[in-house]
Amino acid sequence: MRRRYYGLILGIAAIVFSLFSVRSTLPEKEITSIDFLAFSEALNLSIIPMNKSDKILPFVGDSLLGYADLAENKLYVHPFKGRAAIDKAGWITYDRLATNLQLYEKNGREQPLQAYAYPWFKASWRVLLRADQMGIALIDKTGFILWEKEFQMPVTAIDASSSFLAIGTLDGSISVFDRNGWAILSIQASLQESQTIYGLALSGDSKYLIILRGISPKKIETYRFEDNSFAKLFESSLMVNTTFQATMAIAQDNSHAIMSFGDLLIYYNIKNKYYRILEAEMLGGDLSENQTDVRYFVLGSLGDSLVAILRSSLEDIASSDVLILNHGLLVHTAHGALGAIGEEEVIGFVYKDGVELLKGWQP
Amino acid sequence: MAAMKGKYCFLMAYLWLTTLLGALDFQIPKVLDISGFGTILADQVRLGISGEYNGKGRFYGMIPRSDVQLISADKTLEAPSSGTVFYSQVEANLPTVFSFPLGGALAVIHPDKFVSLTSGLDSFQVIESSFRSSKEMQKSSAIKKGEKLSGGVGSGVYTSKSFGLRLFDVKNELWMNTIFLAPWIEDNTSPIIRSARLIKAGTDNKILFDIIEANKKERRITCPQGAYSLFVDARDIIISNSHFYSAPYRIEAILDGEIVINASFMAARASGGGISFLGNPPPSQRAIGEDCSYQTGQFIILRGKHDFLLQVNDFAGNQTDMRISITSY
Repeated sequence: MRRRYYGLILGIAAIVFSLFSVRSTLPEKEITSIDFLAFSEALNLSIIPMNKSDKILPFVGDSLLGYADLAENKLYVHPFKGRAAIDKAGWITYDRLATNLQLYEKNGREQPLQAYAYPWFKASWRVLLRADQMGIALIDKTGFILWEKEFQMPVTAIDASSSFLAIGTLDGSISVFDRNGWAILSIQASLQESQTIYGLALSGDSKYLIILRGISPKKIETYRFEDNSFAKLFESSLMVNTTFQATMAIAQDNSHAIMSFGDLLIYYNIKNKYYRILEAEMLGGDLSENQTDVRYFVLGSLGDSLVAILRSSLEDIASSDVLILNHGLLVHTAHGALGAIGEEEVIGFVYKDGVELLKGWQP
Repeated sequence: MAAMKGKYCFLMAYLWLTTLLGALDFQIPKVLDISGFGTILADQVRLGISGEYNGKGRFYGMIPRSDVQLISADKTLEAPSSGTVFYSQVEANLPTVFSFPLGGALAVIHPDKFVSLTSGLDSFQVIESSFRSSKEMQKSSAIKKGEKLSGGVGSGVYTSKSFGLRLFDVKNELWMNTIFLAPWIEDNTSPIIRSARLIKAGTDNKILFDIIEANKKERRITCPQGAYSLFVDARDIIISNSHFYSAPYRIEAILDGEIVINASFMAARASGGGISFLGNPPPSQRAIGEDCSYQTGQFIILRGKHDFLLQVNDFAGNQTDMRISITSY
């Protein structure tokens, strides 16, 4: 009788514990404020204080770019045509043909940048990806080339963390550079080995590198930064038949990675080395009714275990959503958003007509 | 300057290429215009837009191109060969997502370990091909030779009706010049030598001798003996009346009847350091001089009087010569 009583108590305790565990992995949205900053009321970027670098979030919309001042709830914007890359020090606008690159300081002061390349910015890295996709150049905020590298095959994947820049190529080669251009990791491959790099991601703290390679089956390789280099920890097979280039991001808490190939979205648990395909039904929303008509692009990690995904309609350019996933579970959908920005406890969604700031997110 | 025919070089090159290509059934589809392998990458794009670009300043991206640029009559391009798609790239339709410069692109593996990359494709085409490839992975060719690939309004750095096509020989690690695989080309014009300069090695490129200027005047130059680098800017028009131009196929320097430089754009070697053009070490920008001419090689001029002949051939075997006398002290 006593044994049965203890069993019952243990059973209840297990249920309570498991419930508590599940709750702790789900987001407890404690949003303290939601502010919508309209572009129509935004300030001109020329008046932004040059010394303001804290608490500002750079963003790119579809025809305006600028900075959201989180402390004062202000927007500073500048119109642009074509495409743009922006960071806290300024931005570069360019056209699709890469023939008209313009470099701007944060206050909008402009100078032409002579290059035939697309600019790519992340984590204070300013990279020019050459127009033939076979070379990169690191530039400073004035556009001066600090160093450049050429690869024997087209670049198919690029990512950066605060310390490193990682490049993957069509033949399966991987290079990870530090800020001085020294190769921290260099793996040369050949097309004979069928190890094409489809995507890669560096963790924000530079500790992990995840590589998606191989034609069939694909492999997810996990590397960890140890003793001044990246060492391979393990690899997992990924049984998906797709030839698409992937976009990827590792969650800030290094628990998992999210990767997308066209209309396919995958959650990969780094610690337990398993993956699962995120079904369209789990992601909700209007756009997923006909899954072949949408494309997912991983925008990046937003803090802790949150990752932002852009879901866009293939046919209707105007139709897009931003999905926020927590451990692969949908926790927020920003209908009509074009992009997401984040810093500490603030998440922002970029719309056609303004930026929405959600403050106080605490997963 | 004299122009003459030299089909022998072309035939040798063709035979060498066909040996390399083995059983590969690859043909550049007939198009309206073409800009060849080795042509300065950034120049051609600006040219394609303005039609009169003639810039000389060097900047990032001015390297010899490892593909051919094809300008189609309509928005489609016939697949040059059959094969299986193993990599596909699409362009994001929103400016908030980074898109890669090659735009919509398909990498296809062909028989005999050749890989082609077609770029500037329409995203729908890429998605359709990828989908098909996924379904039939390893079973049959996802792309059939002659199949229409659509470019739509252009993607990546390509304008409308414009495509990029490159071919890689996996076994020999070479980016191949595919212009020899376009039998429909009828090129009867000789290449034009725009500049030819000898620069004394080890002198910070300051001591130079302009062969073109010498050729116009006394047809001779006087220079100190030593090692010299030869920089040549030569262009070839493949399609008559086109404003697109191509790099020449071969540049030869003959000193006193002996070939001292023999540089060609037959193929470019790929290695860990990048791409090697005209026999220069990688990266590819080493094949380009400060004034965007081609660095063709180095040779030694000893004290005495010499006969110097510069020969520039195009892909069809048309040739342009320039002869001067060199007196070295």
